[in-house]
Amino acid sequence: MRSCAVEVEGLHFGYNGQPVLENVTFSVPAGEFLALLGPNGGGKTTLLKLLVGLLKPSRGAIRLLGEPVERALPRVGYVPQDTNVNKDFPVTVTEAVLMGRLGRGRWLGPPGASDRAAAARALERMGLDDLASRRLGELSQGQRQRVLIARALASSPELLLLDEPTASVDPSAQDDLFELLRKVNDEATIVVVSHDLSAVSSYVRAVACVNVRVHYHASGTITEETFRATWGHCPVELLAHGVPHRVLGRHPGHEEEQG
Amino acid sequence: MIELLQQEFVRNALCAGLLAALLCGVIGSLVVVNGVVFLAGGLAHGAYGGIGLAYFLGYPPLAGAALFSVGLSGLMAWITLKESRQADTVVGVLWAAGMAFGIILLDLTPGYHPDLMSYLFGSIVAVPTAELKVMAAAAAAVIGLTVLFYRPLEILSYDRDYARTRGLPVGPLYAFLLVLVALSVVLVISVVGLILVIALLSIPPYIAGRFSSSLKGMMIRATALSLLFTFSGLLLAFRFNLSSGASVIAVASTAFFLVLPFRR
Repeated sequence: MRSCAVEVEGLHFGYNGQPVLENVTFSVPAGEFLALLGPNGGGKTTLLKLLVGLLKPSRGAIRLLGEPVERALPRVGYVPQDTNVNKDFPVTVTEAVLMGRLGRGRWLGPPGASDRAAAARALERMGLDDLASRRLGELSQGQRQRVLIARALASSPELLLLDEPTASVDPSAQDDLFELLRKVNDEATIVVVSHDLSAVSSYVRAVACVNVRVHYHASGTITEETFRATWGHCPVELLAHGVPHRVLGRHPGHEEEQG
Repeated sequence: MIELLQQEFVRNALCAGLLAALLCGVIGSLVVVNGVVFLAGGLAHGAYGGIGLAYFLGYPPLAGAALFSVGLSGLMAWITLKESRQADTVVGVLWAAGMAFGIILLDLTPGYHPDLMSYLFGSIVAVPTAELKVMAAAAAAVIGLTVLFYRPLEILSYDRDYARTRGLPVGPLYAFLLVLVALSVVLVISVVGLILVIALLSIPPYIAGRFSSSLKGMMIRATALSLLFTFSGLLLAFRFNLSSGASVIAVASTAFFLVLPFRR
């Protein structure tokens, strides 16, 4: 039996009594490439923030890499959605990527040789070598997004969590990015939040639909049916590369959600 | 110029200016990038309560102010992290309460004690050599700790949420940052006064931040600018017989308003 990279059990979360996530239970096997899909406001980003400990569940438990969240965090890479955080902060691209090394090595004193090597590797992987000594705030939004991914890769994570990594990347760069993530997937479990099915469909191996509840479809291809369950009655045009090879059944409790 | 330098009080003033510039350049950069200039102002004013308490109990005022402001910074860190919406208001309250507490305690203390004005504007031209030594040692400790904890402080200042996802103890680290700010503020107040501290903590780092691509670079440039403002301000003060602290602030704020229209 394969070990689990993410285990979520009976998770509940709400803002001011308004439930955002209800009774969420799923587990992601190690080595998976999973997309979290769902409508805006469905709780995808909230779920990811719960996974990295930025929010605390009202009920339920989360384990990452077989450990409680706090203990596992150094082995987890996180790419937040917002590329505009503290844009005026004076930090070079290399320094920003080196921040990802904290938690892996020592905290005190200057970064060591292994930290610098890991940061340089991550920069090269994201094609950022030329921009290494530039000030982060001067970069375009798409470039900053790549810096955030490089920062997560610098820690050589065993689990990589990305929140809408293609949101500010132009379409041609999207495919490059997912091609790269596919390579990273050889070493790490990947969970990527997306609202755009077509962007991820030919890369991911499993899909979870997040809309207050979470419906997990292990290593399947996504169909229109999957989408209907997530979006309620609204029919959604499904555009995906390749021919769906498996039609998913209805979710249990699907009817009541539509009511 | 040479004649000026032959006098001990002038040399002491320059040494005090150098130490103040170093502390304000390094710690002020952290204050500015964290957006806690108002909070630093609250610490600086609130620390007056420690001065009053020290005189009332018969302890050295510098030690009283240092301990008191460290306590205040712990309280402010706790409130900022717990109740971030009310933090602004609470800082304002502690600002006023600390000062009032200090003034009342001084009223109740019999005998001679310096008045509020000397706390506000300091007396950089009247720094005794002994105090300069204490200040130098404390400044070395503050700067040393900042260098040692540079990377955690950098990530905390840049993106607190991301720091949390790296498993950093954000709460204690933020409290540590405010303790460094409190100690620096008290050290610098004792020589240059409250008003000049706030000017030096905010103006040179702000200007430096516009021309730096890293926090380190910002700290170095801010220190250099602090030195420039302090020394040219002192020179003007000696030359035209003006108040020293106010002259330094006049030079610094003139530079600030000259740079302000130029956007990065």
